Amino acid sequence: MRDDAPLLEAKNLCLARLWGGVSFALRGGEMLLITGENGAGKTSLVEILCGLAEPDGGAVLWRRQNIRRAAEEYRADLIYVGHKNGVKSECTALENLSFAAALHCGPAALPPESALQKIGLAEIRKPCGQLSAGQNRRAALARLLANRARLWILDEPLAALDDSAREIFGCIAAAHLAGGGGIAMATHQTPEHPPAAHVLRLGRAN
Amino acid sequence: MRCVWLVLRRDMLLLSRRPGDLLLPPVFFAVVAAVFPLALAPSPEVLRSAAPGVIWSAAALSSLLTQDFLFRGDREDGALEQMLLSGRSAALLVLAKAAAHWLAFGAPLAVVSPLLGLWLAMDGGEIARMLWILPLCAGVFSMLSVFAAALLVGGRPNHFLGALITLPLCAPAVIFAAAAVRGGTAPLLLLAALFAGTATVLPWAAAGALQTGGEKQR
Repeated sequence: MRDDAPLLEAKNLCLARLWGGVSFALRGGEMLLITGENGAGKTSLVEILCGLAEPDGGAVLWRRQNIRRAAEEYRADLIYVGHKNGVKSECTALENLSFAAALHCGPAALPPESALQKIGLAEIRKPCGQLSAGQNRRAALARLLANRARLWILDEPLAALDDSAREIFGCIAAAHLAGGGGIAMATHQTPEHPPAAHVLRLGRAN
Repeated sequence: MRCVWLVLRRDMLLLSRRPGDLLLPPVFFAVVAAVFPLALAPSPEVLRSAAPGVIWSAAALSSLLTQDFLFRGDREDGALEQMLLSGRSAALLVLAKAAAHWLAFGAPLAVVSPLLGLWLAMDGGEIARMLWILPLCAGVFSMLSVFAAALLVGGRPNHFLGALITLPLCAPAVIFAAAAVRGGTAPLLLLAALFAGTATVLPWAAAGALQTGGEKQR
């Protein structure tokens, strides 16, 4: 496996109802912003990139291997924060993150308490059902810090975040890119202190 | 296998915080099995001959109540996506879900069923055999419930479809378990084979259904 291989490549992806001919290559240290109007198919593309959905045509490659064939290795090198937070409202932020970090196949990074502290979530022992939408989003984003993975795929990660959380996210993203990681992110907003990013705009013309 | 323990522990923690979900199946089981004799002749012989069938049929029906809790909550809050993208075997995750269902559904039944056995005029030997068979029979019901829940996870909640898939598949287990309570080794062996078969095949089938059914409907 070559080290200079792109972390993530899309080859002529097609989703007949929404877009077609989507191609890009994302290398370590690069960020891809997936933009477009509401309903343009950003979430659908993100789910295809993760392997949660199938495109109507084309392929997604991780380090030049099809993600379907290298599914386990790909998932161990991927952290996904979707449109939904993936946290259980009955559990505390600490319980949610401890479970997610232990289940993920990638190597551990920060201990869950430290990850939550770094993302700025103080109320880690309250059930997530009693936290605000922004605090729940922080609990979800803490997964980025609890495991080590080169590729982050994010769907609207800044939704419901306040200014301080957006700044924290900007710093975390910049550190990840500086460490050779890659980020593909569907968004309407750009992070604070945005690193140089490629932009893929989805629309009927794609 | 560590992921099995992680998911099992998390599901038991969640259920402990939603006691209503935990109590509903045994209460339903007890009500159905307790009401049934009211429609029969009040003779201990009649009750005793009907008892195994009544108990296992009520258990199969009560297993339907838990299907919706298996994957739907995880799908709605995004936890299912996280599990499927964790890099762990989806079949092992399904097996963990089935184990949690078996514990949460089977253990309360083990507490309630001897009382129902007495209510239905079963003798001590039959009650003891029923308790011995219960883990196997509940295991088959759990595997079938997980399979049906995985098949239906991509659509809207549909209890009727869940029952339509599960109940016919439960029929062999109900027949073998009822016969095993009345005595004999052959039905018990057939039930054990049924459990082994479902535990071997259905986690893979359910994992496949989750991975395709979890895909966004476009």
